[in-house]
Amino acid sequence: MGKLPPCMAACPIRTDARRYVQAIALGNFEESLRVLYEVNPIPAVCGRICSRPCEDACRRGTVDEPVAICHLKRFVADNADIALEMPPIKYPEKIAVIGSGPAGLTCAYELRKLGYAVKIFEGEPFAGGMLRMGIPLYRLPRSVLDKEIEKLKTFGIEIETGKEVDSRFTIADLLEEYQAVFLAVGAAKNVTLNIEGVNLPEVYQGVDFLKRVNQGERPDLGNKVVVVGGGNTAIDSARMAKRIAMSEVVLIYRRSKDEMPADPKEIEEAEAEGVKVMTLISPIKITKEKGELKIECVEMELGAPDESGRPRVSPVENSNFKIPATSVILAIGQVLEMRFSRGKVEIKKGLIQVDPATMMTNWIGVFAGGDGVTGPSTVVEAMAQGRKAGISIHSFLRGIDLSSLLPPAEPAPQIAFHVREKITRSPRIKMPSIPLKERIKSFDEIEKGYSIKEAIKEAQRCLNCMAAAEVNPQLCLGCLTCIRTCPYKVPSLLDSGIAYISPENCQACGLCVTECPAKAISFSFLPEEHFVREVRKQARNNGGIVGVFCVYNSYAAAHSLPGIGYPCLGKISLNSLLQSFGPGIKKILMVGCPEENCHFHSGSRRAHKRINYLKNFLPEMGMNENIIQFHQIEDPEGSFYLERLKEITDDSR
Amino acid sequence: MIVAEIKPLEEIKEMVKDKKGVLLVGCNTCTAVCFSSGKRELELLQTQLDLSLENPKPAFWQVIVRRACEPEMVTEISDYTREVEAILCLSCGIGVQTLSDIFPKKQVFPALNTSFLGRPEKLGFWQEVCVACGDCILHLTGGICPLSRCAKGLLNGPCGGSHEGKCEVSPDIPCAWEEIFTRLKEKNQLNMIRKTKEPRKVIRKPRYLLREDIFEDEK
Repeated sequence: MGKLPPCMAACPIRTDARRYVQAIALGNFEESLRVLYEVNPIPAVCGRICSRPCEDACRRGTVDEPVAICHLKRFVADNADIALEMPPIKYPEKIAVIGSGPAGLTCAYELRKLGYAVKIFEGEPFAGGMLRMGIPLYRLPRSVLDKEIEKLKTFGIEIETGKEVDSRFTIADLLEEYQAVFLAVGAAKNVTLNIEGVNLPEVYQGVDFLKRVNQGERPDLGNKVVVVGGGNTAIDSARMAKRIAMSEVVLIYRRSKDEMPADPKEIEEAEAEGVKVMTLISPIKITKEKGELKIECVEMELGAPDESGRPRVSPVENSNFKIPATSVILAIGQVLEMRFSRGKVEIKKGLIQVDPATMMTNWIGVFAGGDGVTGPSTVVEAMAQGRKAGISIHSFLRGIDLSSLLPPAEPAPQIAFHVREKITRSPRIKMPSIPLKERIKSFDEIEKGYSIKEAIKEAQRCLNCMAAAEVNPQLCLGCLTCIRTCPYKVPSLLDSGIAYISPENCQACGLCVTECPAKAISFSFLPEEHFVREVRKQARNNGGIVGVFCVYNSYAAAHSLPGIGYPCLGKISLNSLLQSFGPGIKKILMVGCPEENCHFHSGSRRAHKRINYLKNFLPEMGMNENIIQFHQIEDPEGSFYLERLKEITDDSR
Repeated sequence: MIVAEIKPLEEIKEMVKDKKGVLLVGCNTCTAVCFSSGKRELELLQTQLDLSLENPKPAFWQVIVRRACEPEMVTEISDYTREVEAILCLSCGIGVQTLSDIFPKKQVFPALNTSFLGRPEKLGFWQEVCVACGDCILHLTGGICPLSRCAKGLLNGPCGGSHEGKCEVSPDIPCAWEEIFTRLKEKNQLNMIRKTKEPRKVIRKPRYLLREDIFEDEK
């Protein structure tokens, strides 16, 4: 396997982000969603709450800002709809999944796709696990979660809620009916702080607090809430508290901000909403004097790193002080809920022990993954564990080598500096959100989602990494045409005299593909025949009139314009243009961008030159040069294109 | 390299229109690099013929020879020629002649006009720079060939028709002798321009080259 687009390599579940983003760029939303469902059972959820490792890896980040991959996922999941066809059951084995959080859902999805019957058992009355219990409503409306889970049921995943694995219903019982069991029980139990006062009624446990609020309870927190902890649960609790009490919310954390495990974006948003973050503070006692709650704290200082690599912290002598509060939320960590009956499964330090290569526990046929194995982590990490376990269960049941099913991913290296410099800058499109003042007044979702226009524009920022043009060394003449044509100066000549296009630098403009005199260069993602095939299809359906537009130019309507949306008209070769004038064609309209606006610098110009060249010999072929109408005009909404297309259609009648 | 251009379509159509089967032969050397005989142009020409010839039109096949001037390489395509009545050769005149020699029973049509010995100056622009005179004087003229680049082919120049670096024949043509002057000046060799160059050797045709140490007349 070659190097992957960095977004895909960085995604723990290997979502082909480039492919779904590129599909949006072309206005093909259903195709995009189809790509998402290849690995992700809950795209609308992930599109809202994913920690976005793909965006950290996105190479656009070295040009200006990373592509808003996550926002685009949400856009497509919210705006496109495809039916998930129930895959056939191919194998006799059945698998039981314990827990319906992200790990359980993903494992079940993977196995169902592979052709196994899967049943999920969920102890709570509703499916979703931490997605339902833990994630705040303002980040994930429950209607979104419900819809995705319903969809998974139509995909053939059976979910039984209110079914706890306990002493009456054990793993051993399950193994009688199921050939493999996946434990995705989560880590929803709070680690309690071993200090005085934690059992006071005004002291809440982070996960319980979130769970209660998410289920509709609104506890009376008073006018000063202190949250203890620095992870996502702590931040979520603080922001929820802000919404419930509209009071002062202080978050205290024992290390510095750099060490906080919470998503930096979430910390930033919490602070923007008025949560006060105090670091290097640790509580030592909670007292209640004359009905008034006080947290005694001590200041901390950072020392040498411990075995986890984080700096050790120690209290500063005589630095004790008290913070008055009306309620306290403790969110310092979570471990496995021990409510389930573990049977023979080995558990250490509150976590299920598995072989990291196979996700199998010490009990043959019993697998585990998610927070119950790793401790609290991100949703996408839990999903990755579910996916890996699903594939591992398949390998276990079928005796297939696991390494062949889970190939390692090597990301493409960074884009060379001289290429980066030539990429047109374009800022990331901001996610429309509820204004700050309004946010904390309700539990409504903060982010509103991109409009169609915004989504396509944003998707078109994607550099289509590794979708490179490729030289066939058998055909290359070493003529230098590609080197002279490339607007990004990517191709070079090898010592052997053959051209080389470095896949990590190619911007996939396609100009070398169309100009190579030996046709030694090709695109795997856009074969040359594609254009002619599309034109013929359009001609048949539209009485011989075909419209072609540049999707970068008419981006705002790329999804809805009739005709063929092409990612730069410079990608259309002279011969395919000519071939498309075959039988059944009356007229072709082409609308591209003004030359100076071309997404790929010289694509529109080269298209123009090609068409002029073509028009010169059309009369010799006995054809009218007016068979082709070519315009270069800024036409974001496609209105010029539509008008012309109508004109041509009317004329031909 | 040898620069050639594709003949007008009308002319090519005339050649092949009555044939039953025609093999388009491309050459993957000089003329491919100047966009006249590679796969790209071969396919384009076939599309042009397919779309513009009237029925009954010939059936077309395509093949590309690495170097159409080499008999051995041309012999390699014998299988392709078996069924066809005619060969439409996209190569310089040398290739057309090699094909005619190797396949004497087939009608071989030249699809290109062989133009000159030149080099690419810019993407899509080739310039004649050598006339293969057989008596090179480039070391005397600053590395610029007056026989190919002076509109009048003057061996001793400049003439009086140079104006602001352009030739009197056309304002689009740079004066080769002014270029030679500038280049020699750069090299500090202006004395060279004063030296009168003697008339050229008479070229005896046909020309040939024979290397006695390598030549073998076996048979």
